[in-house]
Amino acid sequence: MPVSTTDRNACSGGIWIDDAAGTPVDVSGTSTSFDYNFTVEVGDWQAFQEAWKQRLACGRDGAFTINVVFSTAATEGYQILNAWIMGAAYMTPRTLTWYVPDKNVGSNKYEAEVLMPSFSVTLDPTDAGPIIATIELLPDGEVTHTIAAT
Amino acid sequence: MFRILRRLDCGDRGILEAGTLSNLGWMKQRHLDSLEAVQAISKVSAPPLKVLPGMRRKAKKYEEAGIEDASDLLKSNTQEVAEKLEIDEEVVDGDKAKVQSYLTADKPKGG
Repeated sequence: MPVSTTDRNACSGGIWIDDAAGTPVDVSGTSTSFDYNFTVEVGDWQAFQEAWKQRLACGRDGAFTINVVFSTAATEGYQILNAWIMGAAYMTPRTLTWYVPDKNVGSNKYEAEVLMPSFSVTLDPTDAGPIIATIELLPDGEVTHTIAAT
Repeated sequence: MFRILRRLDCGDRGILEAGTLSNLGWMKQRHLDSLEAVQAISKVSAPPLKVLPGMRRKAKKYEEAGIEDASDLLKSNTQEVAEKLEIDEEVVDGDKAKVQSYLTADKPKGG
């Protein structure tokens, strides 16, 4: 097979998450990385006199991790996510949307209602770099995948 | 007329499922080009109306309104066609739905 000419990098990726009012906010500008993982529950069994395992598939799941730099602006990633976990509505899912490779027509668009099981920061007095918050997000229900047409 | 090959998020216009047809008339040409480039849509080679089941005799009537193939019928204005051919609008809408169903592919199992 010839080498691909449609490969892309993540330099222009887009990540959006709802604020407390349910309005999608672009947090790409303060995000340093975003991981998304999908898994399928697979069970296996093996019969006597059979060298190969048999497998069955069931549910699907996802797990996402976003790293954001600390910033003081209330409308940027850190403050929005911090307010979510520290506020009264920490148990209420929010909409997470991300675009691969970027937010243009033809790009892959993923969307999920998510909950935040963890929000982690390490403060290091010897580190001159920015404060980074690592946020884990888990989907509540289906993760949708479409092609962006707008 | 385009066949939707991959599930499309059209923003306020909703979701277009794979296998369906749409003329995407609201979309800019450069966006249509982008979607074709990622094989999310493809132009439909619309068959002549007369080759579709149950449409042979009706095709002759529709020709009087300048409608020759499936794409012409699906893009046409129901009210204008009904007036020109002196038939009920429900008949035109019914034929459009029938033609649409012949050209729409089944959604793949498993989603």
